[in-house]
Amino acid sequence: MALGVPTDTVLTGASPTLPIAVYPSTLHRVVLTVTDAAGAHPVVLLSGLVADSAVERWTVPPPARGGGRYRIIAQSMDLNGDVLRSVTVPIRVAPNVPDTLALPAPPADSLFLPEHAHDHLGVTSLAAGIGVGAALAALAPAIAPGGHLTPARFAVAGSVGLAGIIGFFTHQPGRTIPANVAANRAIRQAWMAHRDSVAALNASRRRGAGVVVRAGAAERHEGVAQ
Amino acid sequence: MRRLPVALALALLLTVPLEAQTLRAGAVAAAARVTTPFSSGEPTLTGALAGGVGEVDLGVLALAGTYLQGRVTGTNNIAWDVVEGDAVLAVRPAPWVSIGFGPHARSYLTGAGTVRWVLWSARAGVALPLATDAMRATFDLWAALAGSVDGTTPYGSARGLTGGLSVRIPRTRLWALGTYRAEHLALSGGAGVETYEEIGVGVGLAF
Repeated sequence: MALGVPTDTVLTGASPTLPIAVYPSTLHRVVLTVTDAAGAHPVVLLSGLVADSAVERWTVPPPARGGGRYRIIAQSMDLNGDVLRSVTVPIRVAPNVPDTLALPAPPADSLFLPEHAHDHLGVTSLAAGIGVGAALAALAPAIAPGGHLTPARFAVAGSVGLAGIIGFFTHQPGRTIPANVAANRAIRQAWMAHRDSVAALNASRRRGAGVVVRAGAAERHEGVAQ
Repeated sequence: MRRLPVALALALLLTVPLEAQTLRAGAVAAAARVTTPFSSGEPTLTGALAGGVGEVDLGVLALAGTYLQGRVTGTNNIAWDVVEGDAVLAVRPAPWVSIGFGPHARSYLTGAGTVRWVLWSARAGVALPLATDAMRATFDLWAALAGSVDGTTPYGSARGLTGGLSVRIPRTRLWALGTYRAEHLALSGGAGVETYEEIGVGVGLAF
C-alpha cells in the first residue's frame, strides 16, 4: 500500500484542501486518518474497501504562526478488522508568505510649500506705495520750481499710496496662502491614495496566499503504526 | 551718436531668445498743461493728447518708446498742435531698477511757426512691486545731458519726473497704467522757463 501526497505544494483559497491518494496493492479495507503530530485529534477521511486507488481531500486547518505538524496515516485491514500494514507520512503546514510591497514613505518635507506667509510683502508694498507716492507729490515742485503745478499729482500719488496700503493689509505675515495649501493637500492625498492602494494590494495577496504543505518521507509498518 | 541706441537694440533683439522677450503695446490718453515762454503773454495752455506706448523687454535690457499728439489751447484763442515722443534704451541691474538713455522731443505748432525741444536725457527709475509683481509703483527721474530749442534759441537745461501705477490684469494679456509727469525746461541765460505737466492713463496688451 502506498500514499500519494504532494511533497511540496501551495494551497490557496479560503479552505484549502490537500489531495491524498491511497493505492492498496489489492482489495483492502482502508482507513485513512489525519492526526496531529502527537497522534491526537484524528480526522477520518476514508474508511472502506478500496480496490485499486482512492483520492480523498483533507481540509487543511489554518496554520498557527509557526505552522503545524500532522501525520497522514493509512491502514489496511483484513476482513476481521485487524490492521495489516500502515503507511505514515508526516506533513508540515505553514502559512504561505506572499510577496508584498513596501508602503510608500510619506512625502519629504521639502516637497511641501509654505502654507503661511513669512515674508514681508505687506511691509515692502506699504513702503513702495508710500515712498513713490510721497516722492511724486514732493519732488514735482522741486523739479519744476515756480511752475505752479496743479494738484493732479496728488491724485496719482494718492492712488499709488492707496495701492501700497491695500497691499500691506492683504499681505500680512502669517496669512494663509490658499494656493500652497491646495498644492500640499494634493501631495498628501496622492500619497495617501498610493499608500491605501498598496495596503489593499498587500491585504489581497495575504488573503489569497494560502498555506504551504510539505510532506516527509513515508514510513511503512507491519501492523499498527507506531 | 543717435544711431548707437538703435543699433544696440536691434543687436539685442537678435541675440536674446524669443521666449525671453516681452512686447508691450498700448494706447495712452493724457491731459497736458504747459506754461511756456513761447506763448507770448498766454500764461498757461491746456489740452488733451493721445497716442501709444510700446516696450520690448529683454530682461536686463529694455527699449521703450512713447508717441503723443494733441492740441493745447489758451484763453486768447491760442491753439497749438503738440507732438511729442521719446525713446529710451534702459539697463536693469535688478528687476525693479532701470537706468536709461535716449532722446525726447516735443514740438508746438504755433501760428508763427514750430517750437521744438529736442533733448538727450539720462534716466533712473524704479518699478516696485506692490505685494505682487502684477502691480507696480513706478517712478523715474531724468535730466537732459544735451538739448536744443528750435536750433536757434539758446538751450539751458531740462529735467523731469514721471511716476504712477502699472497694473497687469491677472490671467490676461491686459495691462493698464496711470501716470503723472512734470518737466522743467529752461532756456539759457534766464530767457525763460517752460513747465510741462501731464496726467495720463493707458491700456494695452503684453505678448
